[in-house]
Amino acid sequence: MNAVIDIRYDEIAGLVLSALKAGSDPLDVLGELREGLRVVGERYQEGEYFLSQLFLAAETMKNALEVLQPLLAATDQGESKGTIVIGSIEGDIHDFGKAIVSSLLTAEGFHIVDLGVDVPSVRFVEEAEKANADVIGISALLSTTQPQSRDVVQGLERRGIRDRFRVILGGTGVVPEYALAQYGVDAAVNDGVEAVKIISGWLEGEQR
Amino acid sequence: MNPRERFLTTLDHREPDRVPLTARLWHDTEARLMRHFVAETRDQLYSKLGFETDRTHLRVDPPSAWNPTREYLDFCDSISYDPWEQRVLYEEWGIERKLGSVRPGSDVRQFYFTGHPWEAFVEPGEVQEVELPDLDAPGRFMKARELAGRFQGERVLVGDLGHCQWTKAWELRGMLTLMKDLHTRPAMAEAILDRLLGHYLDLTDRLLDLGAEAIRYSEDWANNKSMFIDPGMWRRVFKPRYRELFQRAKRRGAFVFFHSDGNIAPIVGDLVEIGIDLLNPVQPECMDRVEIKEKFGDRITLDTGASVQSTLPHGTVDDVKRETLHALKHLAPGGGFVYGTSHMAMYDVPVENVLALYDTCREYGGYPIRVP
Repeated sequence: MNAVIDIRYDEIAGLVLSALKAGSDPLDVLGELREGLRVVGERYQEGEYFLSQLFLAAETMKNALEVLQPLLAATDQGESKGTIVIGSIEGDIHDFGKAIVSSLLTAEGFHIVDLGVDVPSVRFVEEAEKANADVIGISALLSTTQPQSRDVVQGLERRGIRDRFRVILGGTGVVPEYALAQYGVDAAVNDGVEAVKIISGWLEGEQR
Repeated sequence: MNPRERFLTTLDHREPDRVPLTARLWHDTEARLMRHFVAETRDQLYSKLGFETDRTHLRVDPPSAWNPTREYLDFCDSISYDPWEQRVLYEEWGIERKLGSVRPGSDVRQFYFTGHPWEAFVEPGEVQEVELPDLDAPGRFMKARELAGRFQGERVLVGDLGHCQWTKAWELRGMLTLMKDLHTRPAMAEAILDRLLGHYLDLTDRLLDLGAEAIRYSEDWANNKSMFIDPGMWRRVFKPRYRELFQRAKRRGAFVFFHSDGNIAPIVGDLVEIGIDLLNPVQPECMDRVEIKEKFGDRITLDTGASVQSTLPHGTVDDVKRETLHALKHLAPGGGFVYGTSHMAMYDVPVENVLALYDTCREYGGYPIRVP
């Protein structure tokens, strides 16, 4: 747990291997690491940690997962917790927030289909359908690009598949109350850790 | 009082005749306003909004031997930026970009980065070997010299370093790679920053030689909520290098203007300590401007404005007026204050909201401030 909190990025793989050699159960190790990432998220939201620490902690967790994954494959924990199609909406070229949220979600055990930046709304719909995704994550920093999340929702509605996907809009400039009222998304956030919490809640059984 | 005197007075923390105004308008927004006022030039538009330009930016240009391709000119036309300026910022460094899509409601496209030339470096030594843009190449400062000659004594001449440490470093290295460097390979991060420091100290000297009265540094350090890196790390790694940059300008009597988006509240005190004179944009949705004014208002000028993320695009005319009056009442007294749009007013901002902003400033922005 502390290895994630202390961001021991270069050492984590060795530490996990040592723990496994000493007889630790891979599932217990995974649980500890996820707890570490949860603490990092909390510290970020409380202003104690900053974005680079959040990103590096997620990357540290990913390094650990590379070691753990083959051992977890035999258990139900080895399976993805859900699929999220994510991208920055058309006209928005900001990549950074999306990259951090993707890293956090991967570290949490979700499968990510990253569509990149400047993604047309229709592609979100097509790719979500193709990947049989659970969630569509739309990143939009600018007030001018956020309204296009409505196009994604309407695209899903036109195809009669709105109920199959939860849609979340994220970006540092998002005003959640305004976005929820205007765009028909299921959630709107201006905090990446909040996005991960909401998605985890959805896919781990919380009611929509 | 002319615009230069007005701006210098506020920088000196005295009250000019009225609050100095600026505007940061996205190309489409500016075009709409120009149509509204039947203005042909930016200066005419500003005059209709009730102010005059008080600053001229001096920048380094590409060498005169550089010939832009048709393709490059078209690219810059699409993003509505000056090709010569863009060349120096990006392509001269080997930073690769691609054109973003056309967005509904705008004729202007954005660009995004597709390649960071220093991303593959493994050893700090590689940073030393790379060739940087040659500031001695003929023609580098031709336009800056001409502008300095034309506006000397009429406007404040601002030498514009632009992205010079953090932002330039991540443009060259990739932001996530640079973050990894800072946490796991600090020697690489420091080699990059030192290489840039040498280049930008040299550029500072050259801009001061041309008559720059202020040097502007443009670095985005935060999103709306918090900084990209731990302020402790910022103090260890970046503060000493900014101190050196600022001192180079200040030793020759120049002002230091610092720009950073987002919530940089944790480091404003540090920036003041190492010598900034003006902070921009101090976005209202990111920081408590009244608190910044109370703490540091006697030492720095707040170059700020109305919210471009909520009030200007989503608010009513009354909302804009209310926000502007609040700013004038709490931030203008004593000088050290410039107002306008806090950042780029994008194309979702209604013309009437821009007018409400400047009408309110015209009506209530005279000193002494009397806001109900």
